[in-house]
Amino acid sequence: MTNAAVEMKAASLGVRRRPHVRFGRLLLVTASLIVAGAALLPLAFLLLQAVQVGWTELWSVLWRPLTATLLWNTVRLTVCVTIGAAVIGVAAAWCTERTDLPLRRLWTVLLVLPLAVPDFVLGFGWNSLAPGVYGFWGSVLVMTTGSYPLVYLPVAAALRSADPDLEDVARTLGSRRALAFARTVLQQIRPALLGGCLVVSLILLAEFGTFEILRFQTFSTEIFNEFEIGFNTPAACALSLVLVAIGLCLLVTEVVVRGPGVPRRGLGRPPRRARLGKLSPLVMIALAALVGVSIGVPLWAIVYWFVQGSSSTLPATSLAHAALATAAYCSAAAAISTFAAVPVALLVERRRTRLSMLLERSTYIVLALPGLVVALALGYFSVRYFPTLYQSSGELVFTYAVMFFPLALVVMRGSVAQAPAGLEDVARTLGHGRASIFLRITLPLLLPGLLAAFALVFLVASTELTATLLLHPTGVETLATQFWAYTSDFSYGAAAPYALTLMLVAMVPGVMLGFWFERIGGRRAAS
Amino acid sequence: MTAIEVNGLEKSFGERHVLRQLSFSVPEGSLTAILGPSGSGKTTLLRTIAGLERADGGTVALGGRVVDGSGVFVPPERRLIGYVPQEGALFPHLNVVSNIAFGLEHGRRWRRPGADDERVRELLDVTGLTGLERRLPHQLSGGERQRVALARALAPSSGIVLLDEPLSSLDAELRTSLRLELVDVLRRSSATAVLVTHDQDEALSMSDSIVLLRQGTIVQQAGPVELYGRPATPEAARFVGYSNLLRGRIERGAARCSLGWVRLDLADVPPDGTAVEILVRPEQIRLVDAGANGSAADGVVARRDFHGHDVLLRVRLDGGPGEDVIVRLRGPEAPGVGQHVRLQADAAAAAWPLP
Repeated sequence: MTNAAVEMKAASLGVRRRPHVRFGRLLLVTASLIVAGAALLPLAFLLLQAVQVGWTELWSVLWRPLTATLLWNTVRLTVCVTIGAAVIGVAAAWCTERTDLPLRRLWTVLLVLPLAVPDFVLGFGWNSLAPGVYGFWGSVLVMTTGSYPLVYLPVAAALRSADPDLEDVARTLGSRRALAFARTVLQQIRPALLGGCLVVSLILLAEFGTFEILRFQTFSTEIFNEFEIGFNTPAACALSLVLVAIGLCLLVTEVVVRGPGVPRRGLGRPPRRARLGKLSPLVMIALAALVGVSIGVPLWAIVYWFVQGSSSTLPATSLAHAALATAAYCSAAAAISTFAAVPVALLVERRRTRLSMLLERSTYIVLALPGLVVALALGYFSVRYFPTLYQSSGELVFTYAVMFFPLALVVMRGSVAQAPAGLEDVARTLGHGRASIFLRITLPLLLPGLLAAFALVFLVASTELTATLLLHPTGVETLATQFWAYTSDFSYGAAAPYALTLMLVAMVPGVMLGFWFERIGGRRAAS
Repeated sequence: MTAIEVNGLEKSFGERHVLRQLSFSVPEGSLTAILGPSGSGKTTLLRTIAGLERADGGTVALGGRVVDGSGVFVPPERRLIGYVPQEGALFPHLNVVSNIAFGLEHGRRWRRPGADDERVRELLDVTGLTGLERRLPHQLSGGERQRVALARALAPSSGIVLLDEPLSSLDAELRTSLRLELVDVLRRSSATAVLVTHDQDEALSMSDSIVLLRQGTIVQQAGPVELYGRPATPEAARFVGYSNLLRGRIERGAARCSLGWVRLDLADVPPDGTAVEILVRPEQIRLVDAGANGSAADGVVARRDFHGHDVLLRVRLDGGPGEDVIVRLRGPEAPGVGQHVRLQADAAAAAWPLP
């Protein structure tokens, strides 16, 4: 560019008072506030209801022996399952990331795959084959084996990027290997581990189908009963507020326990792997058992009921329709949440202030709410302000997007950390404008994360039950609602094809997620 | 002709006043180092010149045209200044050629320049990266990465490159060799370069001019020889190289201090009777025999640091107020700790009147 051209540009730009760095920040904050606002709609609904019903009425609903039972059930279940998932998740992550286990890549994908099995299908599998699996311990078994991948994924990723030098230094200071691992590595994976545990415990609070099948009473099942059977909105709201309170406790606990973030450093070399030696077959058997329990059992049950069940038919048309509806709703919802997670993730990672942290944290609370409550909330607002939307496909999609937005955010945050702002600065000095930088630098670097967030939301949304039951457009069924309808009638044979199709539909993003994880881990370890 | 002219630059981040009234200029085709301890505002200064930060006051001019200040702000993408940040910041998803060609895409969107582009070839050649065209950043060594970052910065540039501690992440050996290489590449491409560093060796050996920065203000700007030989203030003297700063008084045109009489090698000697602080570099002090002529001082060797090519002695002077002086000697025959020595100073490099 000639000097005269530079001068002209300079003159034309002189009018602008502020550089557009500020403008970008404003845009980011605005977008994030809108997203957080949408994510907080369910909470707003609950508070509105509470005010309408009045505190005395709420208090009388809550001050019952039933509440104590529910609280005891929910708390002990949350504690047991979270600890179980944490132990299994960390152990499995260590096996695939820090040992010389044979067939590591295959194990990695297999260990993520249980995400593709809806928890209620897992519960159905166990309970229908072994009726002894029910109640508290049955629920602990099913939920632990179903949700450990949510701990495994972030912990394995953190183990890959953990600095092996620290471990070495700890060993030279006289720690034995196990102690060295505990002191340094556990310290480094702590944020990832706590993040995983948080998601597991929040999802537990909201889970309904599994506990209904396993005949275990939690807040979530009781809220459903109060509402569906008694049409008792005040009671449902009061119980939901207790869930919100528990969720808030969990969120605060996580922040307090996590403490300040551990700075992560790019690795020079891959970490050393422990030699398993003679233990290798034992570890393989243990992992195979884990995969068998979490994938094998439901598969076996589905095949068994399909072959044995007197009610089996293969309703090809309705199956195809339900599969199509599921795929359409879930991909639309996944796209929306992933898209919405980008500005929030950018804001939290690049401008870490109290406000941005609070904004991010506040969106997690929706994970603790049963789908039914979220659906009630959004239904309430749509009837009031957008009556044409009520029970439309659009509303269901939006509900899914709100419900699972936090999951997309968790994945996107990790992804944004891979695309530091420094790269964009350099790109600007090389003469590229805002749009060009986004297309050529930011987007390609975020793409794997976008796909992973999309896959995760798709996966979880495809198994959604209670919100769908309330909001689905007339005449449209999803795989989950059809499965639910048949199992409620004990028509296991008819239900089986829906469960199988559901697992197949979920398998695609599940495998995608596994491969994405393989890739980012590989790149991170190498760079 | 001046390539960069900074005048009265001011920058604060909230309460923190990072740059205060900075003024200096960089001649075209020269290599200027900005030397200062960490936290002195070096990186902020560089980012302001690049346009990544906007000045709160003062002006930045490139090639005589104001790009920041007096109501004007030219964004970084229109300044076309090459910028090499600390860790290189290569685009991890692009190979060597695409990284280098990234800044050449301007105005030719239908076809991205590749390895066959003349400018890319030239830069690969100049930086010695031929043969590595298809490698991704994580497949390169630290030195190679820095060379790619430099080539990328040079590619579209208006002839100005800013380097932010480009060698700090490398090990000592690679650092020395890459230092020479960088200077070579910059000279061959006749670029104007501004290098930020906290390493005085780097600044002294690479640059034509050094801006000494401390807490956001300029202590001195001078060529390396002048900065070392004629520092403007005791502070500048202390920051660049080893220095003996001794208190004394001017008598008969020379300084009288704990080293005895020291000749002042200066154009303007302060009048007799002035209390002064003088600077004597370690290599301006010699060991002399006990019976030698002239003014000398006795002391005991308190410490001996062997560096191979030379030896640094810390000598505690007898009878004085406990002053230590540092002496640089050549060769391994230097006296050991505890030995008595007699010192003589050739001349002082500078003298500043004390208030």
